[in-house]
Amino acid sequence: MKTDKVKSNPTDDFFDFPEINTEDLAKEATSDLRVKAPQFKFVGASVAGKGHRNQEGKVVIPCQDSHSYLSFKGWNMIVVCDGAGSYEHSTAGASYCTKMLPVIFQRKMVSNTGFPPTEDQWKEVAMEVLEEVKRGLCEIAEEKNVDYHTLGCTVNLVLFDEHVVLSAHIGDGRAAYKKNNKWEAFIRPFKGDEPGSTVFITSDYAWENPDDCINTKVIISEDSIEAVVLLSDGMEMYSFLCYTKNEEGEVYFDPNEPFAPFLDNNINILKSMYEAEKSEEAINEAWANYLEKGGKLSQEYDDKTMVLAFKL
Amino acid sequence: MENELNFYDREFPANYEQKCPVVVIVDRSGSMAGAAISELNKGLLEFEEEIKNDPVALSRLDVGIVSFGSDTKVEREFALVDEEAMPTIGISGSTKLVDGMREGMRLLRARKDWYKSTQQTYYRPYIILITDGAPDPGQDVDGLASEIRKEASAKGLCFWPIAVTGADMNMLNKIAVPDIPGNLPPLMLSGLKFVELFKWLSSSFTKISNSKDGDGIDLTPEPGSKNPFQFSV
Repeated sequence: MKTDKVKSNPTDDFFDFPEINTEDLAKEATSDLRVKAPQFKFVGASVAGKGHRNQEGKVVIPCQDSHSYLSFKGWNMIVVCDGAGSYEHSTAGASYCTKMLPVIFQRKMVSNTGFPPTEDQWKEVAMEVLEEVKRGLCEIAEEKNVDYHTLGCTVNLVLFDEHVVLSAHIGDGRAAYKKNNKWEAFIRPFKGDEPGSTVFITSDYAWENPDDCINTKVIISEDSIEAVVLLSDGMEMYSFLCYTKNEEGEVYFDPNEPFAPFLDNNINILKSMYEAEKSEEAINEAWANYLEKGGKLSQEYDDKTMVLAFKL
Repeated sequence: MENELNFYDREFPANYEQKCPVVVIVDRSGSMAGAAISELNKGLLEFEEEIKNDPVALSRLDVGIVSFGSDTKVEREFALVDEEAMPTIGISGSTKLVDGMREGMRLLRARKDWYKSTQQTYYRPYIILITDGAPDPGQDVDGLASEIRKEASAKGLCFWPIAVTGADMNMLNKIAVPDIPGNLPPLMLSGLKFVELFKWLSSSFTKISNSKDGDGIDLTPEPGSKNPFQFSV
């Protein structure tokens, strides 16, 4: 049985990824129990922000964001990771996480039977996987003789089908799903005291305070899920209402509200490209071009990642 | 080419920007009379124009200005650059530098209290001191040094002292805290290059206000005539 490769953005050459045979992993699925994943289409891009480019627009500091997406065993999966700005090897850390998380989840998850896990079951699986990825980062750091904290990145991941959303996240970044023509957020970012400050998969604080810093969620929707979006914080000001005043105009707060015009308009454009039978590569390239150069987005200093999944 | 496919480019969500508070504390003692104060005032206008050219810095930089001479004066309450014009600094008597710094720190504390009361997040604040002299006798320099170190150690502020020709470098070295990340040693201005100084400040704060906590930021001024300092920074 053919299994999709993990699709992700290019990595640096800090380390060599192990050879992984995803077809072997697929053989573990039991065909008569496997629920066929609905036909979601994916579009994703990670681009360097203005702060990582010179005056000519050339990238001088690699994009520290990374993403991947994959369908397996009846699940669809999206991962978005944002490397810590000040850490030397965070680009590599983010790349490692986006590649390995789908692989490990494929190994650990049973086929989607249509009966979703409980909150506790999902939390247990998610924590096991995150710990395994963290151990992998430690091994790489030891092999390369670097401080493993320098590989730090945020982690946002979601597994979903037509009626279930399973999420886990460490750090900032946002996510939402659409049902009944309405978007709802399912991740609330962890924000520190200073702008841009957050926790990472390598943060000691996160593992010492997992209830505050490592969040998992199970959403079961009777209504059909129409679309899902995951993004790094570089895209939040354009796609979410996330910093505004309360009704009395006295206090600022984060409503964490997906901005439908941005999401819906762009999904419609991307849908039309799929319907016009453009290749996935061409569509992703167009999306990357928009994130990099599209109007106000071109002025964003931070690296930007957005992955969308939608039905045609 | 950027948007041939008509991806979304209309009104974006009405998000506010997180503030980056900066207090500029300026010496207006008698020794600054003439060309020095004239160039400094030109520099303030240059700062205003440069910040207005960056939409993000314009919506984030929250600037207050305090001056000191024989007394202290709040020349500009905290406000975004385009909310209120830059003041014209006059000349007045002696050098109550410690009082000026404390007034600037008081102004900053009040601003931070307001941020907290309205649940606004903000960047670590910056205090820029510009002086060409030595504090009047009796000014509590040791006390000020201790207060600056305490605040900077708690990440309550970053302190950048700028020395104009004639400044008491021993005093500035005493109150500076370059060993604490984000803070600078006393920087000696080259002649009266106030316009270049404020261009460098606007460039630096444009980068800072667009950054995330922990980002390494290169503040190196452009070389040659655009470098406002006597030595490489």
